[in-house]
Amino acid sequence: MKKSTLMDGYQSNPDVWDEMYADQAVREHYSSFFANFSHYDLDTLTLKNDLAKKIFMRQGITFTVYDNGEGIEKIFPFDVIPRIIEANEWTMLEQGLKQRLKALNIFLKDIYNEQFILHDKIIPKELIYTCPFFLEEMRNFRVPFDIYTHIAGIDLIRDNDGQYYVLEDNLRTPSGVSYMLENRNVTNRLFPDQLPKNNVRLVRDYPDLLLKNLLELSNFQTSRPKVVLLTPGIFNSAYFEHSTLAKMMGIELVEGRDLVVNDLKVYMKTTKGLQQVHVIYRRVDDEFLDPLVFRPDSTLGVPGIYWAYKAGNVNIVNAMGNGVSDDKAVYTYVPDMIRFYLNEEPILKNVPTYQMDDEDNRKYLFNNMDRMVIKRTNGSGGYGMLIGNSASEKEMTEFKIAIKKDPRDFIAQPIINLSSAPCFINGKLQPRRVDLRPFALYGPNGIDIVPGGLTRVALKEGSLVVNSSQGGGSKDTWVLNE
Amino acid sequence: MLSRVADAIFWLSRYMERTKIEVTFLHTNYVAIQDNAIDNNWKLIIEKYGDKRFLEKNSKDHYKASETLLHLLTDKNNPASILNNVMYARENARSVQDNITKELWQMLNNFHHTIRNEKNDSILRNEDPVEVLDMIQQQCYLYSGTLDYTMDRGPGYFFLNVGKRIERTLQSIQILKIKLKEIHFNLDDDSKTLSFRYVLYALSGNELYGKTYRGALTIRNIINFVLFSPVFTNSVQYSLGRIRSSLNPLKEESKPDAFSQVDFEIGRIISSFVYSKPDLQDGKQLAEYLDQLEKEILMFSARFSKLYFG
Repeated sequence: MKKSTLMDGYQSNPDVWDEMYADQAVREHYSSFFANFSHYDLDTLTLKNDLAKKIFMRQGITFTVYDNGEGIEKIFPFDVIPRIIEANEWTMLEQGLKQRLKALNIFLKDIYNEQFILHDKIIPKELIYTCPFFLEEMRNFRVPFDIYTHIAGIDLIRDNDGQYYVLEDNLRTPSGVSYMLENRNVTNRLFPDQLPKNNVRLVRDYPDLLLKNLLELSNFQTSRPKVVLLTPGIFNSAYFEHSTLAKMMGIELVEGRDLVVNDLKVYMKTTKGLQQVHVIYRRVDDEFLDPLVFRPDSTLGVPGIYWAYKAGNVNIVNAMGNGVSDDKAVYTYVPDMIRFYLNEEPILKNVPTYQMDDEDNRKYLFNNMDRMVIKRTNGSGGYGMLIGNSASEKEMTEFKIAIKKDPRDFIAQPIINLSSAPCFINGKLQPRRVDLRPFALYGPNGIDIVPGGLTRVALKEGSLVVNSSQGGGSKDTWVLNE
Repeated sequence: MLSRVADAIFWLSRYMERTKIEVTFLHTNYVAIQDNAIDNNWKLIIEKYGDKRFLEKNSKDHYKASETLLHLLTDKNNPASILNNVMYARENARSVQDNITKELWQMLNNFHHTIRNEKNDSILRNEDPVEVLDMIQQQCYLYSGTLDYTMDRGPGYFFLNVGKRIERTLQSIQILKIKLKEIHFNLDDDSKTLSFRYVLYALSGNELYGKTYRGALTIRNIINFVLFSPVFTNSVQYSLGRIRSSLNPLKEESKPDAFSQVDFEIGRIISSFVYSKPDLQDGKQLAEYLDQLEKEILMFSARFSKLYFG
C-alpha cells in the first residue's frame, strides 16, 4: 500500500495568504524544501515530531508549572515544519525594521527630553501624559549613547494579500530569542543536511552580537566592563531564556538579591566580596526594577539602582521608560514619527488603528464590531482583547461599556487575517496562522538584525491568537540566501 | 563567583554525593537481606533516611524491602528520598546553569526525568528492585564522569568539590553509626562480624580491606579501616584531608579572612581526629564519639556557608 505523503490533502484557505501554497502550487521559495521533504512519509514525520519533544525535554528547554506545590515540566509546543522567507522579502523587512527602530529610538529620546514631537503637535500631549508607562523619572536624562531600544522583538503579520504589517514593537523586554536559537538546533537534528541544501542563513550569531553590544554600551574607562543579565528568577516563565543567553554570552546571571547599590554604584555579591557591575541586561520590568522609586513591594529589583543609572554609573538595557512606545495608542503614530524624525516614508505598514478617544472612531467601531479587534492600549500576551467575529453578544456589550468609561484604554483594529503556514498536527499537514518576531539589536555601531526570528503559530484551527500563554506554539524560521 | 551561585553549586554537589552513597548502601543492604546474610535492618535505615511520619504511620519492627525502597527511593512525600534529592540537585543546577556545563545540566535534567518515571514504582513493587537501584547508581557514575570531564577547573568546580567531600565524610560516619546500632554497639560479638562487614560493601571498600588486613576480619579492624585508612577514598580521615585540600584552590575566590578561618577550623578537626583516636573498647562510647565528630563537621559546613555564601 502506498504510504500517504506530506502534501496529501493539504488545503489552504483561499481567503488567507498561505506561506507555502498559492494557486494549487508550491511557492518558489518553498520548492527546494518541498522537493527534499516530499520523501518523508507521514509515519516518519510522526516519529520526528516525537523526537523533537524528547529533545526539548532532555535539554531542559522547559518551563515549570506549579500545581499543588508540585512542579510539572512543560515544553512550549514546537512545530517541525519550518517557515521559509525568501531573500528579497527579508531585505525589505530588514530595512523596514531598521527604519522603524531608528525612529522609535529618537522618539524616546525626544519625548524624555526636548519633546519636539509634542510641540509640533504631531502627537497630542495628553496621549503621552496619560500613558502609565511614561516615566517622569526619565525626563531630562540622557541615556548612554542615546540608545533606548537596544533589543527589540517586533511582531509582524501578513494580511490576505501577503502585505506585511507591524503589529507591535515590543521595546521593553521582548522574549523568545532563545526559542529562535533552540528551534534551529532541533531542526538540525531532526532533518540532517536540510539547512545547507536549502541555503538557509545562520542565526547563531545572535549571542555574539548581543554581547558585543553590551560590552560597547559600557561608558566606563575600563577594558573589561562587567556585564550581567538580571532575571526575576527560576519561577519566571522565561527563565530558560535568561539562563541560556547568559550561558551563551558567558556573562553572570544575577537576581535582584545578588546586587546591591552603594555610593550610587551597583555591585554584585561574590564569594570574594563586592564587585562593580557596569552594564545590566535586565529582564525585569521597569515597575519592579527599583522598589525605592517604582513598586515598593517589588523583591525582584535592586533598591537604589535608578539613582545609580541616573548618575551614569551603570547602563541599563533596555533603557527604563520604553513602555511609552509600546502603548498601542502611541503605536498609531509610528508612521508619523518616521516622517517627522527621518523625513522618510515608512517601509513597513502599521495595522490601521482607531483610537477610542475619538467619537467618530467609537461610532465606527460600534457599528462594525464583528469585523474589528479591540485591544487594551497597555495589555500584552493576548490578554484583555476581543476579536469581533468570534465574540459573544455579552462580551461585546461588556467591551462597549468599558470603552465608553475609559476610551483612552482601548484601540480598535480591523481583523487582519494572518497568513497561514503548513504545520504537522495530528499526523497530517494542516495550515495554521502564524506571525513573525524578528529580533533587532541596537548598539553604538548601528542596528543588527539576525536573519530569522521566531515564528509563532496559533495551533488551534481557525485561531488568530499566537501567544504562548494562549495555546500558541512556534516554528523554526528560515531566511534564504540569495 | 556570585555567592548565591556558589551556594547552589555547593548544595547541588552535596545532594548528588548523598544520593550516590545512599543508593550504594541501599543496594548492598537489599542484596544482603535477600541473601539472608544480615537480619532485616530496614527500620534502622528508614530512621536515618526516611520520613518520621512514615515510621509513625507504619509503626512496626520489620519493614518489607519493597515498601522501604519505595519510600526511600521514589516517595515524593519523603523529603529525603532519592527522587527529592535529585529534584533538589536539579533545581540548584537550574538556577546556576550558566556556571555549570551544558552536559552536566542535561545529565541532571535527564536523571530527574528518569527517576520520576512511574515505571520505577511498579518495578520496585512487583519486579526486580535491583534494576532501579542499578539505574540510579549508573546515573550517579555518569554524573561524576560528566562533571570530571566537562567542568573547567574554576571556582565552580572547587565549590562542587568542597560540597562533595563534606557530604562524603558525613555519609561514611552515618553508615558506620547505623551498622553500630545494628550490632547493638557490641564490638565483641563475633557472630555479628559477617553482618558488620556490609559496611565495607556499602562504602565500596571490601576489596581494599581484604588487601590491607589479609583476611583478618574483625569488627574493630573494619571500624579502624573506615575511620583511619589513609588510602581508602571513603574513609573519614581521607575525606577530611580532602575537604582541606579542596579548600586551597578557593583561596583566590575568598574574602580576606574567610579562607584562613575555614582552613584553621578544618585543620583543628583533622588534628583532633588524628591525634586523639577513639576508644574502640566500648561501642557506645564510639557512637558518642561519632556523634561529636559529625556535629563538628556540620558546624564547619555551616561556618563555611556563612563565610562564603552569607
